[in-house]
Amino acid sequence: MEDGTLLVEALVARVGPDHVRTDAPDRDAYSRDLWPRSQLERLAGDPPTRPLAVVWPGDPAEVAEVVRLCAARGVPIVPFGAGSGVCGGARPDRGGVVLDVKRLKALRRVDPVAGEIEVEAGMMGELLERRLEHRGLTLGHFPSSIVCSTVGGWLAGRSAGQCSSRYGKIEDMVVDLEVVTGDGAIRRTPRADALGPGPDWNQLFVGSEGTLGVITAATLRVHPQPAERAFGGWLMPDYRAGLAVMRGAMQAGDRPAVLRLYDALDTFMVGANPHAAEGGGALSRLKGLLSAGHDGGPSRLKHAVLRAVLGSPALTNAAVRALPARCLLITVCEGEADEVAAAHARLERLAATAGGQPLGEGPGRTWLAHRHDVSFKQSKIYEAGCFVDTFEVATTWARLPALYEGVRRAVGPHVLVMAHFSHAYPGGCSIYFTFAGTGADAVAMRRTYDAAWRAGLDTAQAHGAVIAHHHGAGLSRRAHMPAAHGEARRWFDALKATFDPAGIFNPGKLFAEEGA
Amino acid sequence: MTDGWTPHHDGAVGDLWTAPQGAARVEVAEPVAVARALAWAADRGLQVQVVRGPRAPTPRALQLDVAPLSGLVAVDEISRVAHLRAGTTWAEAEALVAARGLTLGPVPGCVADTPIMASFAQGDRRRPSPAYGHLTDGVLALRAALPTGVLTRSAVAPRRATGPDLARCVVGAGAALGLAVDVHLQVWARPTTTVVAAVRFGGWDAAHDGAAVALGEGLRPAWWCARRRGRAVELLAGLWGDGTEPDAVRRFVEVTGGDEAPPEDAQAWRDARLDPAAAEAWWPQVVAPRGGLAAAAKGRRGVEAWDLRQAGATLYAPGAAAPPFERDAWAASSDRLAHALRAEEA
Amino acid sequence: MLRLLDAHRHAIDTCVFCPKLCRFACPVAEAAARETVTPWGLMTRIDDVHVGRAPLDAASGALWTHCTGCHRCQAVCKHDNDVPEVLYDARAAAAAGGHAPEALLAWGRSGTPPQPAFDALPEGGPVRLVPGHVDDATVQAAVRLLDAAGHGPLGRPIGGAGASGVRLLEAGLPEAFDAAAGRLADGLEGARLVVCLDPADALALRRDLPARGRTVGAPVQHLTEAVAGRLANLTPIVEGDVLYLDACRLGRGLGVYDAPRRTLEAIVTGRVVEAVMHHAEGGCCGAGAGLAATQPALAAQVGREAVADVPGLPVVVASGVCASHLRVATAGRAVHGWATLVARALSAPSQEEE
Repeated sequence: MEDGTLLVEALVARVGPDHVRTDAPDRDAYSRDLWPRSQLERLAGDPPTRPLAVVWPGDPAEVAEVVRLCAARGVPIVPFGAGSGVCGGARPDRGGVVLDVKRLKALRRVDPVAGEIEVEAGMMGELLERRLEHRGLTLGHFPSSIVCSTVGGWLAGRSAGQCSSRYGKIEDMVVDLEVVTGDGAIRRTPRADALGPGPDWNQLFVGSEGTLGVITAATLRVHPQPAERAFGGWLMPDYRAGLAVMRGAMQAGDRPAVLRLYDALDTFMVGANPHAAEGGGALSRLKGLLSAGHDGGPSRLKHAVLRAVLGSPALTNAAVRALPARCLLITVCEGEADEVAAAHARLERLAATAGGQPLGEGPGRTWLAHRHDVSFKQSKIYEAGCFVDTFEVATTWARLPALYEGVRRAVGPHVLVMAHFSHAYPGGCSIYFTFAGTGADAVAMRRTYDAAWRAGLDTAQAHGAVIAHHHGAGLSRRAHMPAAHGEARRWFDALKATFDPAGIFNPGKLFAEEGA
Repeated sequence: MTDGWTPHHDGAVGDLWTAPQGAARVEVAEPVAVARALAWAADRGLQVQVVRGPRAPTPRALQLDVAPLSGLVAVDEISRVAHLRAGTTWAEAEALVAARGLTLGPVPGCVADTPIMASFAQGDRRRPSPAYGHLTDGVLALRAALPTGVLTRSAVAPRRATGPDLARCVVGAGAALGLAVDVHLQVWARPTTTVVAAVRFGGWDAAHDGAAVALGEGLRPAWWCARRRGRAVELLAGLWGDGTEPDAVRRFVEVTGGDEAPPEDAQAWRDARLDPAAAEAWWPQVVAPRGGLAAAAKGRRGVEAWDLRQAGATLYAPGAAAPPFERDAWAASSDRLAHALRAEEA
Repeated sequence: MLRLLDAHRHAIDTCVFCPKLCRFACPVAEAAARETVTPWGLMTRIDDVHVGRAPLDAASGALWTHCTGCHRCQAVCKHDNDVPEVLYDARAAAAAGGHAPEALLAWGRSGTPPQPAFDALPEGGPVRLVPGHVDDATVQAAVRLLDAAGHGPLGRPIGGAGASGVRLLEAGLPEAFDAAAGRLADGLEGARLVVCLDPADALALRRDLPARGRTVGAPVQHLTEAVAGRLANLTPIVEGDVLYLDACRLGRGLGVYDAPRRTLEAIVTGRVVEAVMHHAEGGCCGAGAGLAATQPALAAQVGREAVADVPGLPVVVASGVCASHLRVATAGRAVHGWATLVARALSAPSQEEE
């Protein structure tokens, strides 16, 4: 521990006593991110691995100094944004120093003419978007975590926003990065539109989840606030018909901001299917228990009912098959008036051809107004002694139905599962699965949770899909990463050797360490 | 083989030709042959050149003849994804997908005979199309051969979040980190209408503003460029469509805010300058940020073209100043990365 | 005292299991850049202490000072969780266990500053003034404004109490608050109207006191409400634009947003400019709930960040406490208390020194 004490003293000397903390509350708070498995471990009483210290450098030079100090001692560094990651990517499982970048939060440059901003990694997403909106601009990046995540976190995990079909994922917005690498150098990557010889370093640091360096700032593309929006909503005969509409729009070269198709259960849960029977049944009870709004608080009865429903996933999933197959499709087109009108008109034609029943603007407007509300349901489920999590996979349009059906079948014995299709591209789309389950106690819940994850990812890989579309890999997908990358792993190892020769950056993330 | 080549056989790489001063040449018909050849070259410290057909020997270099590694493996017509072997040239690839009613987008003459593998190795930026992107964009999967003699694999998907986009290691890095051996590329329905719009402006600033407005309005030409016409500047745009955009030229003229000009010679003019011989003049690899577009263009002779994809606007102009980034430092990183890749193997 | 937390179990659970959906809204966490002091972090620590996973100790007591009671988190919370309310009970537990920071307790017990203008008012009368912790210049301005609005003559609460004691509640000394607020309530008996200069006092008398079983018979208003629409002959005295910052307890607490803005519009030649986030989402000056006493540097940072997005413009805030704190926090930037600024715009000849 003496070396740790010396390191802390050195860190204090460099970044100041107010910006290095070793007390219990901070070490506890930084011992996990929002990976639901960490929550189950906490409930089970498993002690977390706590960092030696949490440090808040105030500028890139201080970040570099922290890196040098840790590298010299071989002490791990876990770069940390706001800790909203859901894959355990920011968990300090090897102890060491958690490096919180949130003091680096300047909006360094706004250039509306070039359509660019330069922003530091610690800027909170919602605060950035509000500031851009104030200037008539938008980044167009609206992950559901926008209220609790940072620019640095977005970049580290290859985040996607709800309007990605128009504005792209975060990796599509990157012009360049400022990165502190393992030698303590502050480096600026070549601009994506002016690459020199060598690979596009931006795309190698984006998604690196803190394993190659600390992203301290980025230049990102921004856009004018949209002048117009057109909302669409259809009840499609089934999810395949909905996918045909999404595919048709993207392959025609249109870029609707939102293309969002709920499967039958998700459609039922959002209450958009007037044909679904509301009278009784496990699903109706579930929907009632999770309905939005202030419900006067919890009750033992409600919790018991929820546990009973989620405790019989096979039965509950079987009940889903009795639901009407109809699926809600929501679209939002935005931009200048002519483009919006043309794209919306095409969606209307495609939806009509696919047998969609028009629902007017309502579903789209409601979704836009309440798009973050669903996340509030998470705590109700945990409060009741159950768990909920999500995972997102992606593949080509042709393989999408088999992937969807396969994953549902695979995880169905363990958990209740529903899904929506969003983040559409000309060549394919992601599926966002939500699953919920329970167990006799926290240990049993964790067992069920792990089984569901394993079944889901195994099945995704068996169908040739990518195992993560925008949540990253962290720890939750680590076991599946070797199969996902095969020999390409060697590039990762070479990148580690090049940029993190001391092996201090977020060790054990993405890929398990040798011998682990 | 002529020109000093001598047939040879090597247990590690198979049949090849050698020539004095460390020149070598091998034909590769399978992905694994590329991996073996790269490892062979790396072991001997040879450069790697991607070629098609016989060439004169190059000292201290292995010529990788990728002509046998050509062809369309499959087309997923639902997803509109073409699986192509990387020895295929762009012109061949376009012809192959065209037979299925699809297109890769415009293929400039300057890249027509370039193998896909070479374009990826070079990080080819010679097709700055607002509608279709660069030729090396739109990759849904890329399989590569590593200089350690192995092949990577990749799931086919439009985007992923499984760590760094490792396949980018072989885009723009020469052969140091590997070479693409086959790729899944986005393809599109062939346009049913192709027209050329020509719009005249008083100068570069006005032309630039007009082009930026067009992008903001959601117009995405398949190609566009600008040319000097006396004191005026003419913006030319190839507008591809599916027949649902009546009056595309009129709309483009209206949106950009210039004066419609006779387009008679525009396509021919562009085609002439997309000839491989004119490639250097047409697609210089020097870039200026959008804010400097007019300044960079002013007072220069010759042809300028710009890429105004989505929000980022970029000028390709001869002689414009290179932006100040650490070319040397990143080149050193490339070298270290290549070394590390080999060291891992050792 | 940990039993106090039993009543908050649902709020604690829904916070602890929440994916930090109010994260961006907490001005203290944003200024501190520290997850430990987010509403999620604070509530997690409260949970740990409540269930015995962590000790009730000085570290917890110190951690729980990181809140200004601005309720911005509640404004975005679909569970409507009142984190400050839970926190004040946690502070009470810490205080009872001897783990509360002295600076917090001293702040809770701090008296009002010298207020000769308040002391000069007679006791009793139909309209009674509760000045709270504002300076004497603000009290003078308020007296003029209330007079101009036709509320005179003003009186003091009987017994002379000048504040509600809400700081005691926020510091974790609820019994002391009950006693202090009870004394004030006694002193307000018989009044027709009670006017508070500190929104915190108005909120305590309107919300906290009734919640604890005591009421004030007369309507309780903040100054901005009491004079709204009643001030004629205001003269524009500020050249150009001003930035208006909603005081948290006036806006989110009392729901008073438009009245101070309308009055302000009459006395500036330019516009009343909004911050990037305003009204129910408005920023916080950083002074509240004892943060300025326990964490002065952090409180100053909170204040600077509240006005940083609209640089240059003079700032106006309708709370004397907020204005004083912002003046110190933003050193060099013009910060006006709403009351003193509006009083200067009264066209009647002023007898005070400008």
